[in-house]
Amino acid sequence: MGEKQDDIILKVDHLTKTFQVKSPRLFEKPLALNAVNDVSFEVKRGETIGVIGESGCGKSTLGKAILQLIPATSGDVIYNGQSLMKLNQKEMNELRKEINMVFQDPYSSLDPRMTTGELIEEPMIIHNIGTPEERKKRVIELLKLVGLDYYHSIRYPHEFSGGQRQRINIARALSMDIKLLVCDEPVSALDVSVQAQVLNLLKKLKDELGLTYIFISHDLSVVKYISDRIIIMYLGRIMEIGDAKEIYANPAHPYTKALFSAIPPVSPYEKKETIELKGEIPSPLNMPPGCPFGNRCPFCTEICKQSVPELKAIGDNHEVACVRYQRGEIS
Amino acid sequence: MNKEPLLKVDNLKTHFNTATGIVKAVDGVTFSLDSGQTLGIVGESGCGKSVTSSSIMRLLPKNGHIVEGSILFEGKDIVKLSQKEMLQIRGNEISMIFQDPMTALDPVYTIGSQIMEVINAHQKMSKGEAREYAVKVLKMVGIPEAEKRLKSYPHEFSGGMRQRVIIAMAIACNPKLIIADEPTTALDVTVQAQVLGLMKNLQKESNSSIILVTHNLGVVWKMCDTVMVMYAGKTVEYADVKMIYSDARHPYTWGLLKSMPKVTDDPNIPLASIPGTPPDLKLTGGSCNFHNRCKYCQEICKNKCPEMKEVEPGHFVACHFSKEELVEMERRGGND
Amino acid sequence: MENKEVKRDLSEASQQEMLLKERKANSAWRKLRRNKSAMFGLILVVFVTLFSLVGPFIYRVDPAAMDFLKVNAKPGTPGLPLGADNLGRDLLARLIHGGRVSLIVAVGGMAVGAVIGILAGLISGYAGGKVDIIIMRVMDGMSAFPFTLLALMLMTALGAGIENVILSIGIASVPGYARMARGQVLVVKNEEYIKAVKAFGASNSRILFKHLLPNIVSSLIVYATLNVAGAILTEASLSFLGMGITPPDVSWGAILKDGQDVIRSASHIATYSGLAILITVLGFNLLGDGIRDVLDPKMKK
Repeated sequence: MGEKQDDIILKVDHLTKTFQVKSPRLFEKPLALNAVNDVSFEVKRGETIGVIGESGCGKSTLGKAILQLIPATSGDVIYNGQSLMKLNQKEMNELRKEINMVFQDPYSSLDPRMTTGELIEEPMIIHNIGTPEERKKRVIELLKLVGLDYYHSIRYPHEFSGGQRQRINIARALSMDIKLLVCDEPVSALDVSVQAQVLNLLKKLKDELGLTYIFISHDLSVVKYISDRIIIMYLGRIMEIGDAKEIYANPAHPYTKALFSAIPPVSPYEKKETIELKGEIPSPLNMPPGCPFGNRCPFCTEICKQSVPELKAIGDNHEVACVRYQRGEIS
Repeated sequence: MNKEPLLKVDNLKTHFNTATGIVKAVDGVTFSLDSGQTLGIVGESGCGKSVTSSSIMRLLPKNGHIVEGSILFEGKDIVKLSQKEMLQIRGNEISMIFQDPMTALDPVYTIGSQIMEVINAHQKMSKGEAREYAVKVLKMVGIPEAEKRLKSYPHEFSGGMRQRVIIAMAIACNPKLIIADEPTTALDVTVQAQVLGLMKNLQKESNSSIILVTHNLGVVWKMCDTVMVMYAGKTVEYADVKMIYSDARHPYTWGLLKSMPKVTDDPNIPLASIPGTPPDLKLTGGSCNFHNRCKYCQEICKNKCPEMKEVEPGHFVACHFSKEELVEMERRGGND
Repeated sequence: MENKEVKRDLSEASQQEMLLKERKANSAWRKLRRNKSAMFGLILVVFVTLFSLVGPFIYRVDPAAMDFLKVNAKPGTPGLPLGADNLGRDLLARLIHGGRVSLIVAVGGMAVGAVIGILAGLISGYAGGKVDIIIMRVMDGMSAFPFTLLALMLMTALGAGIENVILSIGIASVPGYARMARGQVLVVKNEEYIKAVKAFGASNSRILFKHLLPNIVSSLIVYATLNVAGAILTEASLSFLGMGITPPDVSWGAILKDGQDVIRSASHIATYSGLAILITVLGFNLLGDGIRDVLDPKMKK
């Protein structure tokens, strides 16, 4: 297939998003909430990179910031060699044909007043793609592609089940010339057997259409199933990043280990030891110095509190941001 | 060894009247639960698991009625009790933990007053005693600085902490049965592990029974002794948890087990999904509710509703065909 | 064919049938029909509308024809079903023609207020920031005055005539619509489907008119219906004060004014014109309440 060199479709470069939050005390300066804090990683064309973490880790904000749906505070996002931060709104809008999002909640991400056909056609109308006849044809094509049918195009969103609505969401995102999709918890609101349908569909479409996915989810089993590589986030920073199978088999970061130990067992015979994390997640407004995981980590020592650990490689396609692990003090 | 079960539900049917017809939300649910045991009710949205819990608590909306069946709690049929008699039972002998910790607590009252409200409703205590007891209960669920936190409001707690408070309210009166309706669905996975661990410990200490309603099979493996699988308002399979895992007999249960992504799965094999969607509950009853999605569907399935059969001691299945017959069908090419 | 039993099986056909059955049963119209007081209101409104619009063609009497022999004739006088007013004019004919004017003024005023007010509210709510502050301050200023007083002030500035009455009532109605629309926009603009369509690159005007407006229109319809009722009353008040509809035009309020002077001797003039106003206002109010009940508790699946 030609060159072996990795084809990087997207590069996130020291991306930071800070929210200003009003201080609860009168007359005080607003406090800074670093939802996404100095995040850097690359995405190869055709891969699925999963982003996992618990509430407040910043994964949703990351997805939106990458797509410039919310303005980043600093850093850059480079798509196909082009810096997105340097584009004006019109130029960015052009690119939205190629990079876009599948939203989380199938129950609220579709305008209840529009029919399915109108919803799927809309992105094409916005970007002036094709004639009205061509668009109608494409709508039927897309419906079939996601496993629905032509007679669904006159129905309203509330007349569909959650799984079907999510398919409509996907069809809508594909109506343009999509190359990269950010999927923000696309199956979290769905039942298990329906999740399976949608995940299979996403995988199939990726292979057929040569897409790249950034898959954001809190469901560890789902992320492992669909991802080639994964990123584990905690309080706005990347704790660990690398090959999915490798990380699930050999988690390095203490947070990753705790996270995986908390996954419910796969059978009633499995006796699992859950690593109990002490303390509570610190308020992102009042972060202690050093490693963000410090106050809850069973291995935290003085050196951890000195500075924020950097991501360093510990194997082929495996990086971790833990000072003690990098020094070989823990494994 | 042959104690009477704490709870025995027999052919429960709860129907709702709507403008377009009768919604048979629960249409034939049968199970039993012993003291100190945990039953998992598993199913997907719309299968009727939440309505089953509401029926046991007799907390149904105006247009919902228990039309058939019995709910025997310690030998007494709850269905026949008046609302006044139910007040004695709710919060006291049977209590409930709801799904969403963000909205299950009243935001304008301190958690202390909410816990004491439950205590005062069922036990005669002085204000001081009730306060002490509330602190004790908060400590039991692992809330740090319990004394101080009595005065806190719900919004000052995180989701996991709020759920602990709700658990505290549920166990305050030492109920014999706790119904937990998706108690950890809205929580992060690490918090979920903590809360489930807490529930298990509390259960060991008090020997209460738990009904755990969930759609997450992993939680079932971790917490439950017996499992009841529901589909479209009916019990389709009911057995010991290990039997369900290794020897499930209903095609829906098979589908459910196969469609859950597990970390041990091979990502190259597509997840087995069940094609189609659950039926409209106004149209069910004339056939096997699962037939239009079942790959083993035969003529009889389209016309007759299957009965619950005890296929081995303690293992009940509602399917026209036995496992051997289904396997044979599969071998011969299935029915597509 | 109302409650045709859908075949109780689980086939795709049956489920599709059930879907259509639900769509019909839950459609706004069906729900409205089930609401008795709303239906009563609708009947009143339809009656009054037909009375005023079709009436002139059925009861062909000149409302301006004076007959000094029939001054203050009582209802039931031959040739005068509802009697005559203080200048001998046929009261029924005057009520019919007056109704036309009153309704046109009320609906016209509502339309003017709605178009300007909803637009202002949409822009204010969507844009936020300084634009929002400025527009809302203006609206606040206007709503500091009681509605009728405001309309009165505008009439004084604009002068007499039907068009000016419509304009005055319209402008006085603007703050109400603006505030309603803005409130709804503030809620809807944060819905996920708006964010989704923004992510696809939709322009602001597309979002405003293709997404926001259709989703807030139901509450605005309720408001508009109730607004018509209020406009009828306001027109009547203005005309009653001599500031609204002036001769040779006729409206119910003007008739009411004429009837006031002779209320002892010829009470029928004030009674019937007052009754016409009452029926219309009641009708629109009941209808508006009914529409609100139908559209408000939306079942979100």
